[in-house]
Amino acid sequence: MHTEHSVKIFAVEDDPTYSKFLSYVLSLNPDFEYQVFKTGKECIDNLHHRPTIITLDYSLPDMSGEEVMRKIKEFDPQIMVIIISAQEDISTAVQLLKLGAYDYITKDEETKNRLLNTINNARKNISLINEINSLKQEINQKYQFESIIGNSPAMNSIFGMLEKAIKTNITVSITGETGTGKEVIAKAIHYNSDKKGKPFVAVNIAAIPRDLIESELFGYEKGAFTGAATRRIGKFEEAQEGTIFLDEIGEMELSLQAKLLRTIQEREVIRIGGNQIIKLNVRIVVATHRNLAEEVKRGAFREDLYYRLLGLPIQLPPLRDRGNDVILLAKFLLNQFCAENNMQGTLLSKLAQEKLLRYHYPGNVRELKSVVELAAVMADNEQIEADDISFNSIRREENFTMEELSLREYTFRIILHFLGKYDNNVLLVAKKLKIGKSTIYRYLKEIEEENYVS
Amino acid sequence: MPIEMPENTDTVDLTYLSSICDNDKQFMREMIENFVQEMPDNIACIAQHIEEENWPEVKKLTHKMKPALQFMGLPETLKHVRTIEQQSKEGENHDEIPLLFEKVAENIRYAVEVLKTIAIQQFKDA
Repeated sequence: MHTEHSVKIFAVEDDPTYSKFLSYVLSLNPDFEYQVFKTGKECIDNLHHRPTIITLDYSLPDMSGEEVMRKIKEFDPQIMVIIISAQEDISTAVQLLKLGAYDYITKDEETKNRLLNTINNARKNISLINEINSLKQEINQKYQFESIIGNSPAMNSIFGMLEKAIKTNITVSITGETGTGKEVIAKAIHYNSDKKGKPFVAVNIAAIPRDLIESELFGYEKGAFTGAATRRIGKFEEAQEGTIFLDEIGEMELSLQAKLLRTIQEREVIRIGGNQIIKLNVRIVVATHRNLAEEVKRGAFREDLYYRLLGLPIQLPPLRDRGNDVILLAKFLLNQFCAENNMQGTLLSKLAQEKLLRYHYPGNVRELKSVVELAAVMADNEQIEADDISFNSIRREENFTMEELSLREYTFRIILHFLGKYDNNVLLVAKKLKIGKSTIYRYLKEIEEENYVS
Repeated sequence: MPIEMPENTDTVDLTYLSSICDNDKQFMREMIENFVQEMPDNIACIAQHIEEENWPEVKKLTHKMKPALQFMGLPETLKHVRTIEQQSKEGENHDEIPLLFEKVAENIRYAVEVLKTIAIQQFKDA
């Protein structure tokens, strides 16, 4: 019976005594679903049954073990081939291992235990490979353009730029306020380009101590400085064939900018303390929340590096300029949060949506995410109401006009704010605002009638 | 006609075979039957190839024979077979092979007879 844990094994062995022995060993584990073949041809003809592991006798009557292995690997390089042979010659074993054999077992007194161990190790390996593949797939899916939420004109122009970015290896510079999703865009470029199977290495320049950043980026040789006990490759080398994402590039020191410029110009790195030149094939994506042109004028950023890095500039719009994207994103983030926390799907009431739309989000998508998550937690039933939403932006009090409201709504808000502040003392509030208390009562009535929620 | 025990021969020893199968009698019996059935033909084949000086085939068949000798606990015979395999390589001196093989054949013929008796006596119910 084929179960989740079962593993399909082919054993190729022409000697009847030994094939009986192999059958016996493989029958010891009920998870092994095995078939025995007498010739290489029989094995190859049955590869469409998709074995996971093949034990292969090195000397078969119809073709050499090496030839059979080549054919197996041509059919599917993932199949793990374990060579079992009475050949004790070490050079044969080395050669077969080089060709891609998973292991080489000699026919001796230890064969049974070694075979069972090797198969178990191979199974662990397979399950790790499967896990890696499914994670890779998940990441690919996560960063598909379709999963970047938004259909506002501002975002549509970004999608147009992304399409252009993935066609070549041009350097991309992403700018935008904090929380606009610069890293998401960088990843989307990588995972939709032809470099997607290769590494994506993100480095936050601002997050690494000044003294360490050079060795982080370029690596070092053993003994390059006190404490360099072993050689270490840098982030550029780590990203070889793939993409390096240099976040907060505007925070880089001038002295290091010169070295970065050289690396980008020459497309090569030399590890600290070394003299070997390592050629790079890396796509560079940089991001910053600063205005780099301004930084150049200030003398804080090298002009030559600025032009090198500019490449294809992508300016991410702040969330407040993305209109209805706020609701699309809020719904997406809400579903994500509910799924991660095994919560029932939560809906946003119409008033809640209006409230979300009115806010200016100085923290952009990152802030929206925390607002929505808090609202989901605060909601008492399956629907998030306007009251469940609270904005905690540190900049909120700074400027009342950051939100786009009508004058009437501003008035409502000011009255409610003062009532809250002075413990609903209408007389005192009227005095503070220099209006009649009947005006306050009238507004309160209207607030109630219009169901206004701040 | 019973075969006489050759001089300096191995005595069949099933300790290893029994250890790999936790003394599974049925498996042991099947392995013994295989040996008894296959070995006489193998011996005849190798003898013929030696006669014809077809060394690559001698090498191939002696190579194949080794695990079976291990299962039946015949280390001395296995040692001789290894030497024959080694000497059947191209460029090696093949002079000693016929004599050495005669010894191997004699040992195996004797072992086959012993194993037939064992199969009948010890594993008849397996």
